[in-house]
Amino acid sequence: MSQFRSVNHPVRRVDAYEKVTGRAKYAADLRFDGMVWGKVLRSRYPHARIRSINAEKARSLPGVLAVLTAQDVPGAKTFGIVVPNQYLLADDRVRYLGDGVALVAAETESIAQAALALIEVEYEELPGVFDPLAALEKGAPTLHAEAPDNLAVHHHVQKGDLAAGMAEADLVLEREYRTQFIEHAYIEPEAVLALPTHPFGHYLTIYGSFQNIYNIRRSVAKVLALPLNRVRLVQATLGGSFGGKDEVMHAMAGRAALLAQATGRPVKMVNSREESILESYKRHPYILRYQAGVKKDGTISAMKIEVYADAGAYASMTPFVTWRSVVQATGPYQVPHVRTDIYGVYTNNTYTGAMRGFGSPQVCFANESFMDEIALELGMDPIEFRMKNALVDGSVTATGQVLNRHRVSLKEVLSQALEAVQYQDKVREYRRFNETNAEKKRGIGVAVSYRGVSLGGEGTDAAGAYVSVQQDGSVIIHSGLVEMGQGLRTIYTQIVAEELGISADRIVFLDTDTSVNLDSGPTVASRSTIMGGSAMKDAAGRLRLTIHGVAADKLEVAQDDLTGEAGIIYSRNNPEKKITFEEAVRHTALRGLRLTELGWYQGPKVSWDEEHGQGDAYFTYVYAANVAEVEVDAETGQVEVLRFTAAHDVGRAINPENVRGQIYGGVAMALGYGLLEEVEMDKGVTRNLNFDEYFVATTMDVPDIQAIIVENPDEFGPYGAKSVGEPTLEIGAPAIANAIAFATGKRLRELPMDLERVLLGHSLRERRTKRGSVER
Amino acid sequence: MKEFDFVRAGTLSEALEFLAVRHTATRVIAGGTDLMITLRRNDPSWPGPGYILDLTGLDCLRGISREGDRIRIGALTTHTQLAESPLLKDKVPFLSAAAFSVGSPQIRNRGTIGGNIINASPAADTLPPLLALEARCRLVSREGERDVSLTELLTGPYRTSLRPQEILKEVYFQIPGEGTGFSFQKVGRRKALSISRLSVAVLLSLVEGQVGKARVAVGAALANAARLPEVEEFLEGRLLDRDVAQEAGKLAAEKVVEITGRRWSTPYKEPVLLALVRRALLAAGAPQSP
Ligand SMILES: Cc1cc2nc3c(=O)[nH]c(=O)nc-3n(C[C@H](O)[C@H](O)[C@H](O)COP(=O)(O)OP(=O)(O)OC[C@H]3O[C@@H](n4cnc5c(N)ncnc54)[C@H](O)[C@@H]3O)c2cc1C
Repeated sequence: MSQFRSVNHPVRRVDAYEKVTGRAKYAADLRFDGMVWGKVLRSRYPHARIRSINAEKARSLPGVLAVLTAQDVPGAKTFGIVVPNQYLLADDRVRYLGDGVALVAAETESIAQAALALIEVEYEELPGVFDPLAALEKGAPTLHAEAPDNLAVHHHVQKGDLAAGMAEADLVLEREYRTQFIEHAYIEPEAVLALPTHPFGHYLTIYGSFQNIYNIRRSVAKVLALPLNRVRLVQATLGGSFGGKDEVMHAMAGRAALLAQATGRPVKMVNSREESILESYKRHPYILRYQAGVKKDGTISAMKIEVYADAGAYASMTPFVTWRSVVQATGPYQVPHVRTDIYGVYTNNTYTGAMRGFGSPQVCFANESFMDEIALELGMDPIEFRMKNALVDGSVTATGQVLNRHRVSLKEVLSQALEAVQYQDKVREYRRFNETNAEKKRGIGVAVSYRGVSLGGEGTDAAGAYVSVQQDGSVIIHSGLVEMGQGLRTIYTQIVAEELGISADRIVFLDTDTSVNLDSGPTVASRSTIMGGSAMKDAAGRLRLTIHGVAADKLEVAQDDLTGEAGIIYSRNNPEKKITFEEAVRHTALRGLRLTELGWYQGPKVSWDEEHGQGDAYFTYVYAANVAEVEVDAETGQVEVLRFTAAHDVGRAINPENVRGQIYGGVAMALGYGLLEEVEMDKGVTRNLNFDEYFVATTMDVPDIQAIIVENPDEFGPYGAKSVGEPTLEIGAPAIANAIAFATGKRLRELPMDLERVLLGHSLRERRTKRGSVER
Repeated sequence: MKEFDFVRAGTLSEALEFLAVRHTATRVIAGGTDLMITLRRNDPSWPGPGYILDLTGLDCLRGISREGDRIRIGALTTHTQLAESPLLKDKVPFLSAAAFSVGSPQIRNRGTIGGNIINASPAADTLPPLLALEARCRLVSREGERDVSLTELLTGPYRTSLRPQEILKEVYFQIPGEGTGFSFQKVGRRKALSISRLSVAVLLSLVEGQVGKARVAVGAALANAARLPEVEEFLEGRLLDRDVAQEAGKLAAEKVVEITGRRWSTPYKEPVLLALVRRALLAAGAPQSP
């Protein structure tokens, strides 16, 4: 029996009913009187100078209310959270095919669409650069004046003495891995609706499919030259994001606001799927060069890692994404001597940014494939090899951090996963199977990870919460961190219910509104439970003290003798002494005490020394182990994932069902990453713009998933909770790669491991003629 | 999306009359699972149809029935109906299997055999089994009916010899004799919503292990789904074993490459076609073929 009443239980999702019955309002569902439609004219070339724009014909089309270009942007021309080099509308140059060149507002969507075709843009095409290695060469075309070498960022990690470490090794192995562009593939394409301010009005309001709502507000305020208090953003129900509705929404919200101000009318903009895939940023493709020195007994003595990340046209989150990569690149192993360098490089491809995993899926794929390759080379069992080098309590990470503030549970999660699949039995079974089958081959593969929780050395880490008890004992809560399908509203509701001793159904969660909520930073880095949850606990805990104080008075017992459960506050020593929560609240209100609290939680200290490439990068870490079992059709290259087992230490599962949901979803995305998905970028031109050609895993492709929740409560999390959102997809692809290598004896070092790569060992690229046409 | 007027035909003769007059500006629609995509693609080189003529009210174009030694299938019959028909599952199970492999439940509930044929994608899944069955098509216009073999109807990728004023009414074929074996093999990129990368349909009659009649048709290998007569000839009269099946597969791959030339996808398709033909033959030749 759990020590908790609400937390740690599979409470039903608070937003499930509206979503499954189709009643939830997404941004594209919103309508206002007098509303008009906005559309974006995007670039014709991946790299070009804009000679002139003539919008006369478009302006004179009946029904067109405004045609705007960069000239009409009243404030800053560019935005960006780390490096503000992304244009709201292209100034004199376009740097990728998704760049916006002009905006139209018209009475109907089709008039707006028609007007786009009437805008005459004269381009001078410039040579483009589409490969990060080529972009670093001398004389390569450049994208940004401030980056004459096309380098968006370079991070490094330096530990010990690499040369000495390699010299100690009996075996030095070197391998190169490559990953692909990945589309977030949220089910809801981007949408906004902006309401203008009138000349004496106070603020403009933008509803939209927003993830990082405060960052978006900052950009909108900047480009419109308005103070933050005059820009109000309200999040509509979000149809998925996975890190994706950030910069693309800075642009969309800014553009809609600009049109709303120019026309004085509410302006709605909704991307089609094609527009969404064309313009929105992707997960970075990486080129990863791994070198390791290992001793005969299987200990790793040194690792040298060099990584090139394609940043595409703008900085976006590249500096932070690559930082997580550089910290975690060696994987969860004790490596005494390390040198890691990562370069984020500008190209004229679609820009790349945050996506679930945030720099970990790429390094996990390389590192965990590499571990199996080293073990094979040593003639050692890959599990034994991992166990030998695994981080344990008190280990020192590649960045010099001593892991002594939390339980280092790597071996525990790995052991639990292996036990659940009966690993050694499976190894024998599949070997036998493969001896007697020529057409089909089976394999089992393992991958493990550690992951820093929350933002770490990336930046300021704090979050707030609002909890208000009404006079009848019902409760309103809201937060500056947003629901995007991950279950945040349910988690926060459970935490408040736990603290107040009431049931979850007495709590209502309000929509996120930047002018009302506390700026809590971005909803990223799997931080909403640990950061926002702690803030909720803080606020609700203080309300409990107030209310229990009044109750103690009424009941004439000591306050610390009181506890609350199911809406009753009672004495532990004498349960007959009790009062309902409502009654206690009524008395609290009568006494004129405050029944609303703002909670706040500031993340524990972290450190990062960029010059020396060392630091206590994150305040705590989570650990995971995945096991994939596959069947490969040796004659067609088809891979079927037979079963998947995922063990995750989440600290404490605030909602175990929700944790399982995260694991199932993460595994499905990992399967797509490993086997199916790739945004095909052909010299800056996106080839697959819809889901007829961009293949995400269907329910039929997702196997039985065994989710194993491991709980080692963390001192910094609410009730010990850490995080689960991103770790669930970072090691699926290498587990599958290792299983395929087991099955076929062939190592695949590039993603996705599609039919051609599995059968032939390399990809085949189509010279496509017509969209949707059959592959011949 | 392209603009058009939507017309719903109440009777077949009404539809044919409409087409006789306005065929140059009209596209007929059945399930719409191919046509809607074409309309939404907004191809600037195509002005779009003036009219969309909806056939789905014409019940005379629906249904699967046995007529003596033949089976006839109305053009509006959906993939779900093909997949679930007891008659087809009993007499020509590979056609049901092919229909069941189409898209997803939603697509199978809307998409029709007529649309699959007339859209004439090289990868259309019902075509290889229909070709192996030597199916024939009844085409109707105001002027009357015409009867063509499916092979004649298919003239290239997304091209047929259907005339603009005609409608495909039904497709029919002889019921294969007792003891005929069937197999449909498909390779796609995933398990559902997956267009064939390659497909093979085989119909085989064996007498004491010896091949009587062999029909081998491939999808997504050539400009349109097609039979491979050389492979059929090679098989007829031989004792079917793994080696012969392998030889036939090799021959199939050779013939296809001969026709298409070497393309970007040949290094993949050549060995896979070989394997699929071999598997299809062995499956069709097995005592209780599925
Ligand atoms: C998501 C998705 C997945 C798919 N997966 C597959 C798959 O796995 N395998 C596969 O083979 N196909 C697949 N398709 C394609 C499509 O579903 C099939 O080709 C289907 O059979 C088309 O039938 P329909 O009734 O929808 O045709 P429609 O779209 O209505 O028509 C298609 C064409 O045929 C013409 N036409 C239709 N009926 C007649 C008639 N009776 N007489 C004359 N002309 C006619 C129309 O004018 C049009 O040109 C898929 C489509 C989608 C959207």
